[in-house]
Amino acid sequence: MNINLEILKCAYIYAPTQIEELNTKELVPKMVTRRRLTRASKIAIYLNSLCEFEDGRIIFGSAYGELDATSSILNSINSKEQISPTSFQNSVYNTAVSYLSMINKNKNEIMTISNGDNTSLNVLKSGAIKAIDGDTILLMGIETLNIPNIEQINRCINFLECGVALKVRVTNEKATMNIDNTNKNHFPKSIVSMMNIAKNIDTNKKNIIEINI
Amino acid sequence: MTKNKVFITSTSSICCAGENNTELFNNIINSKSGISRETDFFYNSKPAIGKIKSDKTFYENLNIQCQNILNDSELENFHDTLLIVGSSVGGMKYTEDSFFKTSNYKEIDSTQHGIDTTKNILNKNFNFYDDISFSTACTSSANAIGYAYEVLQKGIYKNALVVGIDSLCQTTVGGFLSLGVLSSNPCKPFDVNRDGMNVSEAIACLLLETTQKENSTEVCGVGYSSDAFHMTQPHPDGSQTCMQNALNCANIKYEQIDYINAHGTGTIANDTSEAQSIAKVFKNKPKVSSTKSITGHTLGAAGAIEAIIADMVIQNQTIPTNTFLDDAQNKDINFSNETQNSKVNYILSNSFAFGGNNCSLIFGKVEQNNNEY
Amino acid sequence: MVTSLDFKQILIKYLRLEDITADEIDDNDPLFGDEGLGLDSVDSIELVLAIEKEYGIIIDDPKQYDTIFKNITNLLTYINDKK
Repeated sequence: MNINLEILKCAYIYAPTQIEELNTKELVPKMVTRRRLTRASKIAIYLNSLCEFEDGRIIFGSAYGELDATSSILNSINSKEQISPTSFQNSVYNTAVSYLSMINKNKNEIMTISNGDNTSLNVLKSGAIKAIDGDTILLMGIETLNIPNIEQINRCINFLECGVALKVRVTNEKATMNIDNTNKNHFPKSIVSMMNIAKNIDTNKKNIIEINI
Repeated sequence: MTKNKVFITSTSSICCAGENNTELFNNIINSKSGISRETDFFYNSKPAIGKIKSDKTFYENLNIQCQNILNDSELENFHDTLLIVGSSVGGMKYTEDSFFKTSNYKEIDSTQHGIDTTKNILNKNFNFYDDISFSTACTSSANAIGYAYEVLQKGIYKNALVVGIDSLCQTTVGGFLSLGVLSSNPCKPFDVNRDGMNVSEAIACLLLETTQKENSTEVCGVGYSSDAFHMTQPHPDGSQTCMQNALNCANIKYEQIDYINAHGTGTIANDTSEAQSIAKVFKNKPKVSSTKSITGHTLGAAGAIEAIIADMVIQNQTIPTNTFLDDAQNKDINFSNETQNSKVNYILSNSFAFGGNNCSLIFGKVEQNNNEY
Repeated sequence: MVTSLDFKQILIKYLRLEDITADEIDDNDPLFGDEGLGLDSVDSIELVLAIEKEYGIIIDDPKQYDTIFKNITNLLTYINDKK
């Protein structure tokens, strides 16, 4: 079966190693909150604001999760040092959207998917299925791999920080775009199909994607 | 839009308190905890944890649980089945083994590190129609069951296999230790003298279908919410909202809930907040118990293993006691203080996670002739 | 003897505080809760770890946190007492 989603607004950002400007100070004025944010959390808050998404359900996907927090914990254990509780609380896969929900006081259902290279498709499919209920949903995919020694394991990703967000609503109208998994630029495969949608948006017309379930 | 009913038609599990469901339920009703004090598990502390006792490897056990489901069900294979995984650590144990041996990332197998590890292992032996994996810390497999309910209710897939899975690892034991919330003894949820939780492991599988099999328990509804408050401190408003959302989804009133399987981890924060919320919503004072004193907190697998326990409570019409609860902190709650046969039509099962992610599930007993309950 | 400036720099480092200098933190202002700097329970654990790492002092009774961690002045008194 197919479900069509209209992309109402979208945003994306990426950098080979570190994204320079995420407007965090303006978006998160309270310093004691801002200082706890992971890179993925800052990207999530930034993309959410560009999509003008105030309240509603969010489906977030990340294959690699919070590598910086995770590696900090592994290194602490390896050197028999105390683990930082901040690193532990920041190591769960739903960290980025949890901080987003706190800052925006978004008390709706917020789901996190992590499924390797299939993450992006999972977010699109589950988003489409949930969108049948009629509400406007924010779909997001973020990867942050800019940690020391990542080159020991990274063979194919050119952009260590990247994120994409699509504000969507279900529609009966005909599709204007298809899912495209081509990856000439070597984004993490886990977000490429969402990234391609965002990059191919035509702001002069309606953008409707057909999701094949 | 189609509105199918959704049933649990087959289950299989393994955890520290049972190699199978029957053993698990017997240990729950007989107050035999599977938690033990492990002196060697972590380098500078002796937390009480729940280790699976088995001569098979963790992934051998994963395959066995899924094979059990196939043997027990009427399915010949999983070709029409959506695999839905709920896990918070994924393959972290194996990443740890590699990293602690080499002190670098070079030998880490990326297909066995993340949350997709489970489906990668299962795809070697089984073919599924499609797969999806959720990772929301301690609500992972509760959310997975919720998703199964939604997609089957809408008629999107024929059936779904939910796998709730987390293995013990240094990261989680060490992490909870750093937060100061681990107990050195089997936990005492809701007790005035409780001193923390026990990290535990489990593999819990449920086959959900839209057709009933014999007296299958029905999945009646799911409620989600976010606290929007703190990464590790819960807020009672959030859990109230998700319990109410579950009731609304199931289209039943709070007075119809006969038993609540609480999240009840044994931490000061969770149990205080959860008890407050339950007291506010359920003025009918249904029986409440936490089974984590027997199974420990299986993190991402908790939602699934407690759904299996709820299913067995309904099948056996028996409400388990609160093992190790001597003096309840919140006197407004009707805590179960002995295992009892009881008419149980509806059960609410709670799961709450880091980041304020909340999920409540409602399960119901279906009469053989499908009349109203 | 640990000075106020020394300690505040440790605080900023371990608690990952941003956009704030040592002299912007008043020694007598509350550290925890919304009235003061706004630190929380996770910060109190990070502080315990920091004090152990930097000064070798172990605070093992959580019941003492409220008094010791009330403000910089109390913390300095405690640390310099124990050193």
